[in-house]
Amino acid sequence: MTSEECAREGDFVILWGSYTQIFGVVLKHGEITNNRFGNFHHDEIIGRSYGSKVRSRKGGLWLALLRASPEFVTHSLTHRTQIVYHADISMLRCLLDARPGRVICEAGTGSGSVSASLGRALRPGGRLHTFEFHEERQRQAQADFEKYGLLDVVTSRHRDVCNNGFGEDLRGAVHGVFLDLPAPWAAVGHVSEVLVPGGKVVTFSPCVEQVDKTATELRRSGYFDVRMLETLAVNWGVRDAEAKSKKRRLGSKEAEEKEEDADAARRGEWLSYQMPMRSHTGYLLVATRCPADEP
Amino acid sequence: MAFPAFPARGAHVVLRDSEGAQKVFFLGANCQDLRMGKYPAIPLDTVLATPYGAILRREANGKWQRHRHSSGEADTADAEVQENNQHLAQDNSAQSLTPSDVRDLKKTCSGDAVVEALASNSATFASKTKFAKEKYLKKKAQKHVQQVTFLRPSAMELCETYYKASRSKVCGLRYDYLSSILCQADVRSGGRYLVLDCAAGLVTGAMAQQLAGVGQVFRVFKGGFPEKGFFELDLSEAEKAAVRPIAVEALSSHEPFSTEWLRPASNAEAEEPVAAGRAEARATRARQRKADFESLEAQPVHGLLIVAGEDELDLAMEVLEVCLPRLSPGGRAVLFGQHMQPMAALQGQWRASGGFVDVRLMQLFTREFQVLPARTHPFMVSESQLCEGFILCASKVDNTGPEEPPAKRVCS
Repeated sequence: MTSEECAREGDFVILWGSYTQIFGVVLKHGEITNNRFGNFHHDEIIGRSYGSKVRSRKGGLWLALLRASPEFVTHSLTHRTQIVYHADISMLRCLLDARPGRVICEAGTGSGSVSASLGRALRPGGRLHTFEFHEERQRQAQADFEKYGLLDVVTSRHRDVCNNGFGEDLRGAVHGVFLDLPAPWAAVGHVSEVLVPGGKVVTFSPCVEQVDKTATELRRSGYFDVRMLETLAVNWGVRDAEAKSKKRRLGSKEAEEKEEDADAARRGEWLSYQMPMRSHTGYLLVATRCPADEP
Repeated sequence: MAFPAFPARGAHVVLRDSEGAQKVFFLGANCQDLRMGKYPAIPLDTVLATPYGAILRREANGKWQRHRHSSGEADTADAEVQENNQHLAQDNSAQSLTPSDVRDLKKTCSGDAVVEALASNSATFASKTKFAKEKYLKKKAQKHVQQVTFLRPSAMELCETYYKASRSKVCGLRYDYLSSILCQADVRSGGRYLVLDCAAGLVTGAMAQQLAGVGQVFRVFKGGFPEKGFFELDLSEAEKAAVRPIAVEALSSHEPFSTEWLRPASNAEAEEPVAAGRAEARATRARQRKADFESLEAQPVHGLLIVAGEDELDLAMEVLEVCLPRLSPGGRAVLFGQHMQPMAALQGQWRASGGFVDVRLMQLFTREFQVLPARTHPFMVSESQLCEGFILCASKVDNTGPEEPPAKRVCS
């Protein structure tokens, strides 16, 4: 087994406890992570291979040691703002054609859920420039990117792009822009300063009116193929058809036997049910910048 | 990195006509003119001088010429609608031009002029609302204006193109699902992956783009495999080189080196001089296959992706069985398919086994909207599939240690 397959000191790792209890932890000798599953000594985690179940000192409950993929980072991060979730993130990665070597701008950074995913998609050779106008949030985001080990590919800046743009150094050098701002239409002029012809801009807004205003602004500013999309994750749960419900266990003996026969017939069957889902996150708007010879 | 402004010789371009149909063209050495549907041929010289994103329109003189993108949507400043359809009759009597008139017009006029003539010869056009006029003109333009938009052959554009042409060609894999699968499997540069790709090679190609030549994609196949998407993405040589084919038979056999795919070429034919070159090529191929297989077997992979259509369920299950043991603990398993039942059964088994965590079964509900001032609403399609297929994903964990029953776990 190579050392890459093991968690090392300083690594940012995921400790998975349940679907809603996912912890992101930087491993450090002598430290202990405490949560409802128990006390987890980092000394006992460092050197273990990914995919191991690590145990708490008391109680014998375990957490799964996993790599910090962008998906898990999204589930584990501290919410400083409303965050963008999987369905929208994967969609915008696709819309922006985010891949190694590309240069992408993001505003605002927020809690860094999108930044972590885009940063990983652009590595190696690409770069994500992410902008946040809230000074304290930018500082926290910067610390997070350092923790995730993304500083080689993510540049985080404190800046209000609606008023001050993306900076001279990025002029005409950006392949895609993602805007998660209250007034994305106000940034369109600055987007045009940095985006290459044929590059795409994607905005994420919860309200139809925001999308409407932005779309009008984009059409007026030399963008085409203006498309508005909504995407939501529909989650399904599953249970064993054989597993008895509490209600049935209280029935008479005769009824119970009958049910046991019925259970036998259902052995190996699984029953799916729809789990609660987010009913709305935001609308994605995407547009492509016209060729260079069309203003 | 390469972000070419123009399609070049040896590259691909996606063309979209005015009705929204899309087609991929290869601008190879033998390529002369591009033929898009019923449109007259577009000369290659014109194509090579047209940047991605531009529009070519067929003008009255019969030539294909650049046409600027219009930003001309109706103003909302006075969007108050005064007119209504109270006095409009739907008896097809409004249009005074006959179909043969229109045909004659099309021979001598540009598409724009035809649309104009249709509008001015419509008895009701003038009484329509501003929005209705716009819609009328747009619909007529779709039918009569011959134009193509140049699009980049990105994974998304190709996925939409194939999907529009034939859902089954990409086993119902929509672009949002394609991207979700790559994210769920954490496909990243430097990683090693096993993939069964029945979606025209698009999944493999998109993975190769993410790897950017660093890491490995072992493409599992039985018989043959579609390569359309893999080629049409215009991958670099380094990106292509990260993808290695592996026959299922070699993975499922106890003696992989005696399977037909891995068996060294016999030397019997080599004695004939004509066949010598061919035998040499065969030997090189055999060495390459052996190297690829050994490289796969040297270490477990970080992710297993299975994208299979309705007819490939058995193959998907076979691949899953032989590939899961080759997935490293901590690695991601991601399956895409059209049917819920086999996915739900796997979801149940994986959850109960203790060998997986974070087992999720999901669909993506995606819909597109018309976004126009005062007229924003979801597109109305009578037979849409807002959810397409199922994604099952999970992280594999090491299940060899002492185990307490899953019931003891803290529920949230």
